Amino acid sequence: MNYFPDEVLEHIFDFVTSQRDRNSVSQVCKPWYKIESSSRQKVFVGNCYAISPERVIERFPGLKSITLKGKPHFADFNLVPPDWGGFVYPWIEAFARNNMGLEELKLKRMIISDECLELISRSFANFKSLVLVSCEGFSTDGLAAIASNCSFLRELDLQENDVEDHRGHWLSCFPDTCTSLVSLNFACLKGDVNLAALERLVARSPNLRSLRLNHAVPLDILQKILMRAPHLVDLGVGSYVHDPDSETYNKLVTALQKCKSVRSLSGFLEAAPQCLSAFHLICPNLTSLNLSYAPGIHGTELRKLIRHCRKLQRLWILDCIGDEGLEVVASSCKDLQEIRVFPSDPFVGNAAVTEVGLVALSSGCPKLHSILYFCQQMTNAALITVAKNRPNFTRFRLCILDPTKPDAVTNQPLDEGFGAIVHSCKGLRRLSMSGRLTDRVFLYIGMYAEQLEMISIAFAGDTDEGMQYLLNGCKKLRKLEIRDCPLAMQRF
Amino acid sequence: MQGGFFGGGSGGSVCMSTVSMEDNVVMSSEDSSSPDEGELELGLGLSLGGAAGFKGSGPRGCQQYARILTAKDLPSKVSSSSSSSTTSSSSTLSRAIATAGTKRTADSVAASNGVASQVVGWPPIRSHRMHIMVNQAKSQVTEEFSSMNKRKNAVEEKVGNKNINTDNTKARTSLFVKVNMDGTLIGRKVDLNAHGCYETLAQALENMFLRTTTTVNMTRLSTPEHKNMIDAKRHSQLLGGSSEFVLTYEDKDGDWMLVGDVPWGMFTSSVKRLRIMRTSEATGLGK
Repeated sequence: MNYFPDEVLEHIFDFVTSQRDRNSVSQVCKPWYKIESSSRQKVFVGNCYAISPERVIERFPGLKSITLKGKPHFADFNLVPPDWGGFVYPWIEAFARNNMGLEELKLKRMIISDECLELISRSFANFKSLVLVSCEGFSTDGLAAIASNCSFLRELDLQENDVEDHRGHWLSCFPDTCTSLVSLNFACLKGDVNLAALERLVARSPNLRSLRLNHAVPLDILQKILMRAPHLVDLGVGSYVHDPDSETYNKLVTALQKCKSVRSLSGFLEAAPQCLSAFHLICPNLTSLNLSYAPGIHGTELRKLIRHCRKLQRLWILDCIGDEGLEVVASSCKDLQEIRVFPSDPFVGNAAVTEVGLVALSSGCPKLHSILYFCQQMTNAALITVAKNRPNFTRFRLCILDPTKPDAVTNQPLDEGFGAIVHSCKGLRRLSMSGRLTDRVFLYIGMYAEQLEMISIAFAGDTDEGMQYLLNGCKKLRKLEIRDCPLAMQRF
Repeated sequence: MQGGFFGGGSGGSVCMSTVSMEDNVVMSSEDSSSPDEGELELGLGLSLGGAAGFKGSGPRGCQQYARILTAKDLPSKVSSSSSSSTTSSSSTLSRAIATAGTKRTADSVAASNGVASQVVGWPPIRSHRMHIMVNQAKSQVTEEFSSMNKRKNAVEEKVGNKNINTDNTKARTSLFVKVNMDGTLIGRKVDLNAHGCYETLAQALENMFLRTTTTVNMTRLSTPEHKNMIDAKRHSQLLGGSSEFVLTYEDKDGDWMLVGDVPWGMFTSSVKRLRIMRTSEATGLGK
């Protein structure tokens, strides 16, 4: 251990980037701990209450980038009281007080106020990247502070946040000298934006590669933006409502012809499904397509679009694609690795996808390993077939809209089906189950799911034994989410 | 019967335990590339409302829970005249809405139609996605209505509401505001643009908050006479000023005002959030 000077070790550690590996490195011996800690720049805190900001600062004085997660996953579904916590202010205040050179901040399910955003913008001269996922507590005023004061801002990425929209001109707050933007995502904002300011911002951002617009950006502005930013790699279309014969539409087609780099497409927050053909130009190069916020796109137009996406690796879609549409996916997208099918209407009993779509995907897409599937019904037979077709699943999340629905054909619990999945998919790391399930399924999981790290269960099991099977069997289990399960009630 | 654990819904809440099994909570594994992984990190035992209902008995249809999004948040004008403007998909909705007052019936309708059970936090979808679905279902219903209206002179009811919706099906967005009720821990959200008038809004809120599982459980267990008393209590109007609670809102200036004084359009443009206040605390509000 003492053969190398510290600088050499530090240089070697630079090549170790994953958090897990760096944690392992730091546990080898004291000198390694010291060197690793002083040189670590990216820190990940999975639970903002597990450690104090002061402790993090003490251990990692060179911290430049931090990811913090706050509320538990269930908070997304209104299962956590609103005053639970997850405030980021203490962290920012501590960083500012200790003159940390913070450059990147990524928050998930936390509460961040406008004051906090302003503090960030004023305290960290090199601040480059702000990513907020499922956060709340702030308004467009806070965004204005970030825009105004962060001279080197590269990334402002707002994903599914609850933002109070004061319809201010936060976009106009980016000074003319700000030309460093690489990524801008404001798709979740509900209000209007200053369109002229947006255009000017895009025009002076030569490095812009990712742009996701909100519903307030109409087609003619989109077309102008695309003309100015032909090097975009990731595009989120705002509003796509127009007349197919219009000049604007023709200009859009011209603009899209120039966009040869687009690999990821999303948005269409308001869409008239006719004339998606303009996008057929870029479909052949797409690796990622997210139409899960576009209920206006369905039917034949959607299927036509999908047929052009031969290189697709990731697809997020609404269930109005139907089993038929999923069969199109299965036959067209042979590179597909991840698919998520979201419900378009949680209350109607006619959810448009069933076990048929799932089986089609499993048989048609050889590289498919990650799935989130909201559906109307499921059968053991289908799950057994899926397990046989696709043993390479690493993430398998099935959500039947009626949470205790049994096998739609035999009326049996779905124990055998999920048992087949865990038995066949030896690399399964994440599992979410639904439907009628007894203790038996936990027996199977305990026996076979050796790599399982995270499991989500709802309305499942009968007794304590189910939990025992699970906890005794899955040695690698790290995260467990349970709701409404009798096996949990007796034990906890 | 296996489905017994719907009993978990007593008190309009869910007994939820979440357990984190991480050894090393601070430096846990690198976040996966897809932001929607949604991994649970914190161990938290929450028991909201009594555990009394866990013995879950009887058929599913007997239980009722609070909901994060209900058919009532959709164009509730359909509720008063449940027949018109519906096709197969929306008819389930309207039937659910129309019978929602009697929990038992609503659930059996729901159960028989395979409608997703009305459970808090199920299906597990983020609220952002819920907004999309509400809008989609809304435009379905209103589009169907407007086409039916053209085909035959459909029943003209609540004209005001209908006009609002048929005029701008595509451009209309939702206007969700928070609603809290004194004495209730978890708030709700309601889409004001799903309602065209105060009556339907009040109805929706009453269904959300006042038809709580306490009243439901009492209904289940009580005698017919007792049940009538409860029903009578339930019919109290949030708008009428005659009940224990009154509906108020916070406006753009930050002031708390009584709901119902100004025209609906003016109200929706200035409301920030709603609060169902105890009448005793509400004295002093301008009327």
